[in-house]
Amino acid sequence: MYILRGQAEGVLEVVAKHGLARLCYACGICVGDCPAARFSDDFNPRQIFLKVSLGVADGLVEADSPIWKCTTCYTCAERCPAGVKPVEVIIALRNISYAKGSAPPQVEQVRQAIASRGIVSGLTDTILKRRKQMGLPDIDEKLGQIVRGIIGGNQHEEL
Amino acid sequence: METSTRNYKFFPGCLARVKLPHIEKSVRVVLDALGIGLNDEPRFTCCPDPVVFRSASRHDWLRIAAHNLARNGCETILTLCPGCASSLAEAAMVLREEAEGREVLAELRQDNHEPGIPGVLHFLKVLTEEDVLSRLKGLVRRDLGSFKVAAHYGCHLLKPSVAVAFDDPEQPTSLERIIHAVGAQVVDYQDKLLCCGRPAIDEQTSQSIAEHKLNCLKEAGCDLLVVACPFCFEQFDLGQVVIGRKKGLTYGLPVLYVTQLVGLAMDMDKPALGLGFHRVRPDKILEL
Ligand code: SF4
Ligand code: SF4
Repeated sequence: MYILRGQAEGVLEVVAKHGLARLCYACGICVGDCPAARFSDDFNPRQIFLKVSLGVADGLVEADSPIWKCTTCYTCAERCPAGVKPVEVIIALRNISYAKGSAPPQVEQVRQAIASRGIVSGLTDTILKRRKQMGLPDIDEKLGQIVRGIIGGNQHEEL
Repeated sequence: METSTRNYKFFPGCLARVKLPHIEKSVRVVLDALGIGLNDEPRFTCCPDPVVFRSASRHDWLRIAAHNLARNGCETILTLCPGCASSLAEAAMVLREEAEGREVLAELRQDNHEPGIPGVLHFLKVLTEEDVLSRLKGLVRRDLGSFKVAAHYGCHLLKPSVAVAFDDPEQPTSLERIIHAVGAQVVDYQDKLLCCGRPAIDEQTSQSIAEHKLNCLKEAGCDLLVVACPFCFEQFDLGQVVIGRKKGLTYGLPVLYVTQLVGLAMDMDKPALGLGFHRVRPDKILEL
């Protein structure tokens, strides 16, 4: 076990900021109905929360971290009797993992798509034609510009 | 009959717009038939995506969502997709209640936006209001009584419940109320409230969950599955073909968007409902 001080502090900060720094009873309720825990063998929201609250992030922000198995279904946040939101902690860990370049490529792809087009995926000619035939409204071509105006042109500049 | 027209700002989201336009079409025609007016806002961007995009940066997620909300003045936003509804409703809550939200609002003010924080609803909420539901019943023209229909709620339609405030997250009834309203039979099944699996970025987890749900549905013996989310739709429509190919079996379970089911009951023009674009074609079972 090793302690990733800087990163763990980052997680704790996020946890504190969102009012999640409450005491986890370790009751395991969040594990019982967690789809990711049920359908994989190394995912456990309670363990993730406990580790993070001890300031330990080993294995959680590296490339093959189990955090990417979470479906963000929010069941854990709904059921937790202590008001802990394991899902928010997982999202905070994902943000850290992304910032250090360890997130699955899909995350950067989606981010790039939104920054360049303003929507998650590109429109094909077939779909454009279909939209016209169905009388659906055109999609503004400047949506990417709007998004870049908000989050800025940074290292994730338009492809 | 009293036809009170209500108007909302329509938020169609990404997946339906760029991949499943027939679903967008069905939502528009059905809401129109029920006297619910939709105003388009061409400058709405991705909500943004509460799963993958937010996994990159929660802060950027909040700022983009704030712009989509603020762009709109105070007219209530009606979304096609539960992901958009929960993303925007949750962002609205953060903007109202958290220090980070107040900072983002202050940024918007500097950009000369008057940051209104409108209400956000998924269209199913409006569809299941008493007066709309009774109007819907009055428009049923086709007998769907012989069809056994199962409902899949998915997650973001109901949760986080503090933000979306819709139905009962533990025992929802909205979709069943629609199935009953159109005169079809409701089929219950094991793990009805389980996630479709689609948002898990890990593909193995995503598919295992979907496969389990499909097996439960098969066991229950339903003719149709009804959903209210374009991601759940894809996960089960396209997903059953992908999983079936891997496992050497055919599920053959047509998936309908809830507005397609309503449109069918109203005996709407089949092409307008886009049933021909499904991977598992519902036409045969529906004898269209
Ligand atoms: S949000 Fe993630 S951790 Fe929480 S119950 Fe759902 S899959 Fe499990
Ligand atoms: S996070 Fe909540 S539900 Fe999970 S073990 Fe801790 S107290 Fe129980």
